Amino acid sequence: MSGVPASRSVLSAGPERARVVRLGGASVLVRPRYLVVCVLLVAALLVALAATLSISVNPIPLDRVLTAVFGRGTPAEELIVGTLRLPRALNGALVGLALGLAGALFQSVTRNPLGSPDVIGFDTGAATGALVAMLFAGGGVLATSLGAVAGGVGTAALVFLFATRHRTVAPFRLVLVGIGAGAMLAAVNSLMIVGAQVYDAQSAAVWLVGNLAGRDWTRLALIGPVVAVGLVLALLLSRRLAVGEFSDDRATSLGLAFARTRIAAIAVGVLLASAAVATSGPVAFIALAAPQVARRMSRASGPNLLASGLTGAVFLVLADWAAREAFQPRQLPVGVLSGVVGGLYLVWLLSREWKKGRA
Amino acid sequence: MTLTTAHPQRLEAHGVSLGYDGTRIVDGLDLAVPDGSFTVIVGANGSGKSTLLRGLARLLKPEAGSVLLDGREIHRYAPKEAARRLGLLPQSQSAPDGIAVVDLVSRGRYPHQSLLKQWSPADEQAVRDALELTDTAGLAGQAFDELSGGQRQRVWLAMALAQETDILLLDEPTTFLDIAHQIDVLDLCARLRAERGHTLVAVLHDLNLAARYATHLVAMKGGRIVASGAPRDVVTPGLVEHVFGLECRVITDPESSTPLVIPRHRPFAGDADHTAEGDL
Amino acid sequence: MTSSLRGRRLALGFGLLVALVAAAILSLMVGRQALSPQTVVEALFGHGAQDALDIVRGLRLERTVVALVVGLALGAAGALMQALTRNPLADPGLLGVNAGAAAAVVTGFAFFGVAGHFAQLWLALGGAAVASVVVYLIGSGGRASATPARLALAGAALSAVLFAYINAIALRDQASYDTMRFWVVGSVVNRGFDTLGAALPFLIVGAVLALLVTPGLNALGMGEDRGRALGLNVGRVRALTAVAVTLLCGAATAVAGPIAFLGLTVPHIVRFLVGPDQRAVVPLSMLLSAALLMLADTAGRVLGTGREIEAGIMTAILGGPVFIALVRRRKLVAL
Repeated sequence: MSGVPASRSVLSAGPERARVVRLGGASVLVRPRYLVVCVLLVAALLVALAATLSISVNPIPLDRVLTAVFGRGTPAEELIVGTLRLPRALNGALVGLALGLAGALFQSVTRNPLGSPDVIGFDTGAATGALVAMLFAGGGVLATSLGAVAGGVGTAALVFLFATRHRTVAPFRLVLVGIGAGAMLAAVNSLMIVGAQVYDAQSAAVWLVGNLAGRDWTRLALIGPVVAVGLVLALLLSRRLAVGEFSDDRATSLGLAFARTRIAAIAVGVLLASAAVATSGPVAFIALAAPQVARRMSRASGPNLLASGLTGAVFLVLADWAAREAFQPRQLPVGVLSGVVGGLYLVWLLSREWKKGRA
Repeated sequence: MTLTTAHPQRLEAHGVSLGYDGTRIVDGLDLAVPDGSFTVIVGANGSGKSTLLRGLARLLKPEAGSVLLDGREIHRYAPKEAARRLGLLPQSQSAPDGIAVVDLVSRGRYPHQSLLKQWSPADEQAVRDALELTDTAGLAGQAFDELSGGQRQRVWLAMALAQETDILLLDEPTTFLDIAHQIDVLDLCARLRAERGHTLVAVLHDLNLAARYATHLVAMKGGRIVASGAPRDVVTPGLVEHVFGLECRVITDPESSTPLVIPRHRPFAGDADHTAEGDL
Repeated sequence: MTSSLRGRRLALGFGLLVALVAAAILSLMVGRQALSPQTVVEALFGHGAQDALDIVRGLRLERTVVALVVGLALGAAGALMQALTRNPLADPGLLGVNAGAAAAVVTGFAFFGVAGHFAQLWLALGGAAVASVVVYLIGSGGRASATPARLALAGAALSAVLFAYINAIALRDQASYDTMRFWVVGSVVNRGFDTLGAALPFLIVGAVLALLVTPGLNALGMGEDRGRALGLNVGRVRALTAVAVTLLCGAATAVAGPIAFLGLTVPHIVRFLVGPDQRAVVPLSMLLSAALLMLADTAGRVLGTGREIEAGIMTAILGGPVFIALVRRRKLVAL
């Protein structure tokens, strides 16, 4: 049959060239291409981290960077690397990882390449929560982070609630309700910013765009465990999500309780996106673009969770590096770069996809 | 393939009522699907045939009554357990972006898999068999999006077959297919029943194809069953008129010896090409 | 058309005209110094106390007229867009057209120091045109025609990009922040009769085109193929409609900034009352939209504690729930 010998799995006829590894009664699928892509992404991430730590208007040679990391550099180097650049870069990597994962989860559940947290109102809701904290509750790091999480989760819950009819949530209804909620909350956010004192308004606006400047080890300690937990939970869901990408009827007939899976995936996605927003404010388009790029590289069907996360991390580290260095003497917030570049990429993606007639 | 229980009919409905949004479409219906049969449900649009199939397939919870699978209420089964016994070929056409044929068919093995049993030899064999049976083995590496309508339907059928269920439900499996492929699909269904003992339940809108292939025909109207049994007993001019509102003549299909419905010709003034051939 | 339908249309038209006048008078009445209806009417005709005259004929008249004109434009643009794309969720604000106009003006101001009214107007028109073309092309490229979800998503994404961009520019320095902020939120205040005057020719041409193109849109509403079979020049109708939408949206945004949801919800209400005949829907949408925008601006004066709430924010806050309610309706799901 189609030239696949009996010694290899029939799955090797597909583009992923999957192989089976059997041990006793257990069997695990191995996707060589996907693994290679993930390894390459990790390598790319390391390169990006190295670049952002050493290449700069104030350059530090890579070997000096390494000694500074291990506490044996000059005080100046240790300040720059240990206090400024390294935590910022690591925060960026984690935020990118979280956003990539969240985007992949949402896109899988909504069966739509555009169904990501930033488009469906979650980010705007997180911004609302953060603004409330900043303008009415003193605006400390903890308060802002909690506000962002509360706002984001609250918005997601409301959007989910309003998108539910007869106890089911049709994916595209979720997206549309999210857009409506996002537009409303954006107006509310504008209102709050204008109502505040100008100084507060300015810093609030900076936060709203998405910014990694000054993100330190404390934040890393907060976001690290959350992202780790989110990653594990997401990976546990990935087999179910692959089946869930069919229509609801087909998923049910295959024995998937898709409603539960959907809720679980959205919850994990919201958790990850909340952690990201709490750290850096809403950074546009990483959650949208990273999963799409990852899919094209790995050519794997299914939600591609790990590759999406890693792609997001690479994107964000590079974007923050460019935001910090490329416009010297000024520093841009990373969200500006991700917004403009991501947007252009998105437009290209859409026109390509829809020209091919794929919904 | 073993029949796992001693229950007489594996799939039954007892006094079942089904509907959407407050409208009741199927009302108090009883149905026993004979094991090892090719049961076909026919009826006019809106007669409730698709709704009944969805109720049998666990997609719709009954408002009253119950659907039993192997003697147990179908909604009490764990989802994967039900999916190992009962398969469905639904009408929906959406597939994940860019997926290859063999990957799509292999998703049909999901009910038999788990975290540590991701691809057993049984999975391998089932997928190979399914591709062979549906003559889609040559398409295995291709992207599903690039296939024609007929090819896609065969691939969906392969996915349902890979699921290896004793009972298979099919919702209008011949839509989007040209006549040759329709016959292919139905011939395959007939073979599955005859050679492997599957029980099949299909909704078909073509009455003649239904009469030709069904071993058990169920006619519906207004959410109720008005007739059921062997096609030659069920398909009569009176029934066709009652269920479809069509005047017809019924003869015996010379190829398959099953009933063939011939709609009555209704001449109009100026209709010079046709002459009435005498009355029935 | 049955006589009852015609009767309903006339009744609605008449009712909306009355509502329009009432909303206008209300708008002139409300403010830091509330005036009575008689005072307002007298002042309009030039009689009465001098300070009342100043208030009524000054800023209040300005904002009322701006709201009226911009409302007319947005109502027409929304109805046209929904008819053209056969998409019940089409709204210039949601589909990124307004964002395009705003982004173009902001770019001109921030990088090239463009501040003149006419120049900004042309920029707004250009930006609106580019944005609408981009979203339309993206959404309708390929075998399948643009579904509502697609266009809404493409527009939302494009809007997000453009607003991020506008925000970014606004952050560059404190001084321009207030000016830039305007382009993120729509408002009818302080827009000046000269700005309106500059935009008026475009708005008039756009409105006339909008009314002229309605029979063609009716035919197009039955499907492109059927329309062609009726002898319709599909390409020309589409092009003229697109031009009308661009003129109306671009000019309206140049005058009042991006105002969302008006063009979305008003045609739905009108269609619900009088059916889908565009020859009625477009003019009636214009009237209703104008009345609503004046009311939104008025409400913003009353509801804001200490400072006014811009009309653009009011329409978003009030229009959001209406949009969500629309999405929940079962009919939409079928699309």
